[in-house]
Amino acid sequence: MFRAVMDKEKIKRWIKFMTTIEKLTDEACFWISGEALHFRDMDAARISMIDFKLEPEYFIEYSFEGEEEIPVCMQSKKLLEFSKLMRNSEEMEIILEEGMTHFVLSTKVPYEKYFAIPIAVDRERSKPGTPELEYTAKIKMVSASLKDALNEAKTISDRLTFIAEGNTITFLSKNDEGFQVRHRLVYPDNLEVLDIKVEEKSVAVYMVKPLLDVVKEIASLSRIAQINFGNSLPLDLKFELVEGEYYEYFLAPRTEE
Amino acid sequence: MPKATSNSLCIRCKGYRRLCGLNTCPILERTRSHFRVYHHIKSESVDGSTPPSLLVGEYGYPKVRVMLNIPPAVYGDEAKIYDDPLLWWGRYSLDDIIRFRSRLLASVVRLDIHDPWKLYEKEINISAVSLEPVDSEARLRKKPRPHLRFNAFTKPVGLLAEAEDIRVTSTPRIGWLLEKRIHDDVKVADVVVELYEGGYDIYTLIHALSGGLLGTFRNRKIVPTRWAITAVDSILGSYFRKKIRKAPYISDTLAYTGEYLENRFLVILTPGPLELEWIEAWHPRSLWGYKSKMPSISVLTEDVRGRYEYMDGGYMAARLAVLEYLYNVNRQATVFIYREIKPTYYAPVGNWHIRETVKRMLRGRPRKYDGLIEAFKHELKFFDIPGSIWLSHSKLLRDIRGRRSILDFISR
Repeated sequence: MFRAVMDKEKIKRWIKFMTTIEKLTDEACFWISGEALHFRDMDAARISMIDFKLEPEYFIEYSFEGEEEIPVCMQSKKLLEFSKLMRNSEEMEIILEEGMTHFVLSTKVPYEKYFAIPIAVDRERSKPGTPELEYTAKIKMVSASLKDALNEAKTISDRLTFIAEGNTITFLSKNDEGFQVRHRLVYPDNLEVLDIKVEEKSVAVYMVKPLLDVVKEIASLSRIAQINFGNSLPLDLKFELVEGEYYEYFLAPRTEE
Repeated sequence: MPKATSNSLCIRCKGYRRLCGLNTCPILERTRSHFRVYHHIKSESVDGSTPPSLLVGEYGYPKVRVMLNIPPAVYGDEAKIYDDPLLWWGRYSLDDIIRFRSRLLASVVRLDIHDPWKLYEKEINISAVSLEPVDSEARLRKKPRPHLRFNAFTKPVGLLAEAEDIRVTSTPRIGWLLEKRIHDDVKVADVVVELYEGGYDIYTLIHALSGGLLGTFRNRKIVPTRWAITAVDSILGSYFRKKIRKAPYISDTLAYTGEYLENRFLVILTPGPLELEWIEAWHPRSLWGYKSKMPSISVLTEDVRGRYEYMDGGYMAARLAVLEYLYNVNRQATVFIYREIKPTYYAPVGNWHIRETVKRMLRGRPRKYDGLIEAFKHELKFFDIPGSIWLSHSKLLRDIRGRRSILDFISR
């Protein structure tokens, strides 16, 4: 039905992706087709969304028999747990068997391991759309720097204000006790910013934790992140990844401050 | 407002001048009950029917004290009243409950938690899950003596005595399902849910878990009662939470209030994903806040994934009542549960009254509101502690008010 094989390096990347999905939702629903293994879903509070895709070229082998995409849902916790147990394997096979009762992770190298996760095939399920907006601030920057800004903000607050003006991007957080943390990057003085396009002063507030859950994992896979936002618009975060990988994250803004 | 029950105040008052502001002196009340028990203990041998009532302490873990509580010289159905939260709720006052509890003699045996079979051999744990009182006899090492203890935290417990031997002399009636599950090698979480859905009340399940009657044979152990209560609340709560994960949101903001045993509760349910907030406010001069001039407040939130900051027995009890209600109506909601503890709640009597009060509140008719702010504006007047204090501590309200959904930005 569906079979894909990835090598050791890709297994490690896969674990990072699955970690972010596990943090987003209890139930991981993938759309499997000949074009990709695709995940697109929101968290239960519907404030954030991950759009993640692995295309055939990502894998050593990739085969899918069928015409339509199949929506396959499983427990994200077990998927991550089993994926982590594959960490030291030379390669990993992902299989959706003919009866479509289980999603299987298996390997034969260096020895045989087999993990089967019960699945629900939910043909009624519709794939959510993604926000398609005109963002007024578009910044290409080093992922690690974004991660630093989030880690700094986390020390005093669970919210972070993004301010883009001219050639500057500022990450500002404050709390009720009067503490403030600011992380400012100016283009081209700071090499952490690779490109910045700001049509008008843009300000938006986002929750730190869900954002950090993603950036913490993906920043180690991607050096460069594209941040798009606008006045009280969602944050659209896209990472530059290796061929065949696609990862985009959306986070709704908060209306305060 | 009544004054705190401090030791020096008690000595000046001696139970008659009501300096603490309470109608009756809890210390004298307890001592009187102890004397009543004492008069029924003629020798080192005590008999009566356990309501049933079993208590396992934490002290000395893993060698714990297991206490089978018996009201001396009280037999048959009459014994039930001495430990039956379902019978107590709404009928009896705090004084009454303290009087009931104090009337029990705890016959104590010390056991290793890994050895529940010793309780099983003597049918002690079986009698603790009986649907009716069970006749029991205890041979004590020595006769307990009542004594007057001045203590601000007067716990409603009866006399304690080390037992040389405990015998169950009538046949416990436990129902076929529990009987079967005691002999089955099944995980605790599965069996607790099955028994609850099979009609067993939560207090029987707590006794069963505490007495080492549930779980896989390899992992079966005696569990301190306080832990068992929280475990059963948590298992059942998580079960209901899982069941309503995909349920639609409630359609209105609903508010419920209730009061029992000097505790007031407010539950507000509002359309949204299943998140919960528990705020507990102890009045100045109440049991845990008696040295403070301001209310002592603790806040706990549980996120959409069911993760909470710390374990709190009171929260778990209230959470279960709310989640069971939402399961019954097949809806999810964002939930605020607020508890105000008055200074007149002078002795802690356990979490059962939280569970039962919230459960019964939710059976009543709710007040409907158009929005959360309006609900809070009206409902917080129910408490003596000003609304502004509750609101300033609410993390969830602050979070919800500023929250927008990603769906707002997706064109359909």
